[in-house]
Amino acid sequence: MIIEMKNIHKYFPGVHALKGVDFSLVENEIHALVGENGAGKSTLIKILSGFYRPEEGAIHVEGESIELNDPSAAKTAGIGVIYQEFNLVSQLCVAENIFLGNEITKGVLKKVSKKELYERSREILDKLHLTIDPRDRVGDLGVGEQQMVEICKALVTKPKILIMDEPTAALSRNEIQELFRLINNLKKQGVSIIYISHRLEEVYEIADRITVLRDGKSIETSDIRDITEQKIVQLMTGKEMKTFFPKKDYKKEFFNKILSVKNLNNEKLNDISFDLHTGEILGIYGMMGSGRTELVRALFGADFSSFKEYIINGNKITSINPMKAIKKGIGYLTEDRKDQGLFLDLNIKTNFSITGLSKFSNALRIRNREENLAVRDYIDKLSIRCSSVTQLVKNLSGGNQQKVLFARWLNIDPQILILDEPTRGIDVGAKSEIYELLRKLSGESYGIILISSELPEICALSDRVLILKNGTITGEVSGENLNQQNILQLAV
Amino acid sequence: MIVSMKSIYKKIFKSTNSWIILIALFIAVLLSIMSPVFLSVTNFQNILKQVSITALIAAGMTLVIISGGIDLSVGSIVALSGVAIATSIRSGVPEILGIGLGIGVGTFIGILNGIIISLGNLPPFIATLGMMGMARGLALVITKAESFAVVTPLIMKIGTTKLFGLPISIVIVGIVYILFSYILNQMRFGRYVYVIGGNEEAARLSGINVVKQKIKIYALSGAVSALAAVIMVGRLYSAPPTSASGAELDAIAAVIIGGTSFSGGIGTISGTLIGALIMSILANGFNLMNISSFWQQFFIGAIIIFSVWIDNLRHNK
Repeated sequence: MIIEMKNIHKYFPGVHALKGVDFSLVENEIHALVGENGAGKSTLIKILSGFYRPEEGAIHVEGESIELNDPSAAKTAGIGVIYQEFNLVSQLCVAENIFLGNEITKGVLKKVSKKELYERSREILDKLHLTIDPRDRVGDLGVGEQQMVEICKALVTKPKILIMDEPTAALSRNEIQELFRLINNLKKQGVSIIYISHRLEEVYEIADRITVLRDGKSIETSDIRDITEQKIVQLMTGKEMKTFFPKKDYKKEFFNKILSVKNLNNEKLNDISFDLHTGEILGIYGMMGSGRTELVRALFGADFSSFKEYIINGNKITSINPMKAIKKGIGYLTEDRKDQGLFLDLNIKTNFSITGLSKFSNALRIRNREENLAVRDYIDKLSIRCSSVTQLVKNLSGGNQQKVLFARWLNIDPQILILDEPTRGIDVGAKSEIYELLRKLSGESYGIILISSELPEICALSDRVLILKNGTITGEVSGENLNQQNILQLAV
Repeated sequence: MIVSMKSIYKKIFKSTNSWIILIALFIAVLLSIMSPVFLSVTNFQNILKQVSITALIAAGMTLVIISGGIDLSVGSIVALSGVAIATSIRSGVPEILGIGLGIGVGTFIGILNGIIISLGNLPPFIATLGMMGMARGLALVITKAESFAVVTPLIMKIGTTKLFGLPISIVIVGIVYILFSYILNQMRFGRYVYVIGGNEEAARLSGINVVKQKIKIYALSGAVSALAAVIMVGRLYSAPPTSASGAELDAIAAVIIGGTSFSGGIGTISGTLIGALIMSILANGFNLMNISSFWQQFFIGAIIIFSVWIDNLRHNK
């Protein structure tokens, strides 16, 4: 047993996050840790990596009782972590980021040796078969490449135990296969791995054993061969699994054009033209760097673009910016919750009402009671798990944070809803709730634009899919032609 | 019994304001033991009068810092607005118009700050550092570095009149703090201040006109600084162009002691008032006890570090 955690308890203001978790990691195994949002996975990891101290419980590493009081203690104990959120300095180059905190220095003056830095980085990158230049600025890299840099960074200290929190969330299929090859390599070299993911098919592909967490408790640990996917979902949610993706009606026809753009151009986009209809879910698929996020940002007016024609609900507009877009009834759920969506230090109420504040206010004051009623209403409707409307958003789990953002946009009564990776980093239960919500919304008077890097998701949910490559629309599939193969062919 | 004590303790520990109130009370109790004069009504009026200029500037500074910015030009605005009032009245402009002109000048500089920061995309530190030099320079140029007296009826009244038994400066501070508290807690604009400081990009994508809000924030900071200039002229019967130098740092100190986060998004106006009071109580107490004012500087510095340190501990718990 390389790690043994017993009866771990952790409290946060108003939340009992871990209620006696037991977890053990055997040498040389890949151990999957799964659970819904708020089940306590992130908290458990942060305890293992020395960021949080548990109020109760014991941790043994290689048979010895150990106190992980700070991140450096965890490092010394041989625990390396790759977090779901990137911890990279975008102004620095790849090599500097990889060796951040582990700088290679020379002489008494601790001079940083750039040459060695580049060489050593090259070695690590080569091991991963990555073609990234160690001299590139991290800020200039795409999300997928940044994830790879993050992984390289964790390998610098040659950890015995590696914790990976949703490492594939931002990766393309090829990159995931590349990553799995690497993980298996590490396992052969004697590294034990804790692998956290919401994608159960990945867990089956890579893991040896699995532990399911629910509501801050460890529910079950099992050999992966002895447990079915259905059973895992049932253990995670605590209820029987229903059909995962909502049924869709292939023969649905759409008549009412709600949005239409012609020849939209900017630095990243070439002559984009398409229509969106009421009641339709329009999927947009493309590889990393294909311009899918850039496209919706341009539509929303977050980035500059020029266009020949842009019609919303029959009204021609000549320019667009976020303020105008919202007024016209466009909501935009961003890809990056923390950087572009949430106000982490502020409470649920403020995060919720900010886009639709005029509903509860006049020039002189905000009508508090109406605002509270509205936010409570959405907390019920979307079953957001929280202690009160004034709970800080940073203390919510990822899935609940995402639901707060959904509530924010639904509150403006949008006609067009742009959703950029709405289920990224979200567990099975919350995902299924969001799918259900999407179907329900599309049945009403909304038009929805959905970006997802998960092919099964985009296939199951969309009525029609546009495929992007290098900023150009390479094709469109719908009806019976809407399947993973057809989409991929157009995307690569 | 133990449970209730625990919950009281928890409440105190959780709220930023109660921490500072405790510190302020502690200092006050200590001073009242050490000096019998400290607890007198006159002395308290003194404390409030002394604090009024810093408190006014700090009110605007609170908005600025919550929004993630900083305003270094406020001290120079006080000087320039004061000079505007004094020179215009001396050259025959009616008093009330002269005062209006002074407040206008301060607000205008604030608006300029806001425009440079939001449209020009300059870091607030740089923009207001530049403005601090420009406004101070202008004040010196206009007066040729001289300070002259303005002993006119209205100006004298500002310094001596009492409203509800309180000096006018205290009444003005009270009104400004009630108003700013209302802005931050009840108005849309107040929400925008917090949200811009919390995450500017998310604020922009939530459809907030960040440029407009920032201009308003810095305009308010300039306006209350000009109001401080009115009180100063009323007290000194003159407007030295070198006055209020360093006032920006006092104001920032009051805001920070008051629990506002220097990185934006978090803070209260009541905290700032208490922060300003702590500084003023210390100064007053030290004077009463005949301790060198150099020690005041030392202790206020220590309190800044101590209060932010405690705040960090609280947040990392």
